[in-house]
Amino acid sequence: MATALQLGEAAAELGKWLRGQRYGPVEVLDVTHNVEPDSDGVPAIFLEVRLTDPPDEGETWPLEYVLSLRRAVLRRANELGLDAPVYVELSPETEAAQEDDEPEQ
Amino acid sequence: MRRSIKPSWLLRQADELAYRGQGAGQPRNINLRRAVSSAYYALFHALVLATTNRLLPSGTDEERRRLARSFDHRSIRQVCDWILGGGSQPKEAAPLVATVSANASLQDVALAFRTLQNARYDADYNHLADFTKAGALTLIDQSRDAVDKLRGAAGTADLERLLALITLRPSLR
Repeated sequence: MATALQLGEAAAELGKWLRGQRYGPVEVLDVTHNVEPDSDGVPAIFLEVRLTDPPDEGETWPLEYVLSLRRAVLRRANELGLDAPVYVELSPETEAAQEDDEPEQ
Repeated sequence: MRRSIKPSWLLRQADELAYRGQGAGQPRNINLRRAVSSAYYALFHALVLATTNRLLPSGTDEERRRLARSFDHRSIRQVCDWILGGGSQPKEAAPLVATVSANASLQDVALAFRTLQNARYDADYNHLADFTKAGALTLIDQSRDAVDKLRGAAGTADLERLLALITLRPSLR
């Protein structure tokens, strides 16, 4: 099993590889990585991926492209020989305010 | 009247909480968290129901629903990890895992389960996690896709292999 340091290196490698990739109309703008225990307490890699906004003023990205991205990351992780889970968390380039975004009292 | 937990109802609830189809703007953050949680449970219950249907095809609905309470989230997750290429797997499970891993649809199901389980954990416990409407909707889409793929695989040998792994996970060697 990879150590935390090795996982950190692998996370950086994955982030570098993923940044700038395109899946149909969806482009990966930025990736930040983190290594921490997942919901099972297993050391895992977390990739926070910022994408271009959903195309055609859609509410989210077309699933086929999101699945392509997730499958590609899984393939790359397996190529790197990673035993640890890799999680991809997606967010849009532009974040609209949410209903409860008011100043804390 | 007893009403069971239907994956389609959980997915509908997730859509409603995430304001699907309501255009620009974002719902309350706590609603996005509940939407993600419902999307995970839709897939969890779809897997459990598929397994109990396979185990007790001639049983009653009540018998299957009672059996459904005995499934463990972590066991399903471990099977998904094996299918995705991670975790050391028991020797006797390896041939089944290899066959299921080669099935693209069931690999998508495993990937969705792992992704959604961790997202559900963040939604319920992690104050620092960030949830957006686009991010929540894509998780709901992934759950719905996985539920559909499970349904599409009904009666196939590969799905039987997956469900056998889930059923026997605690005692596999």
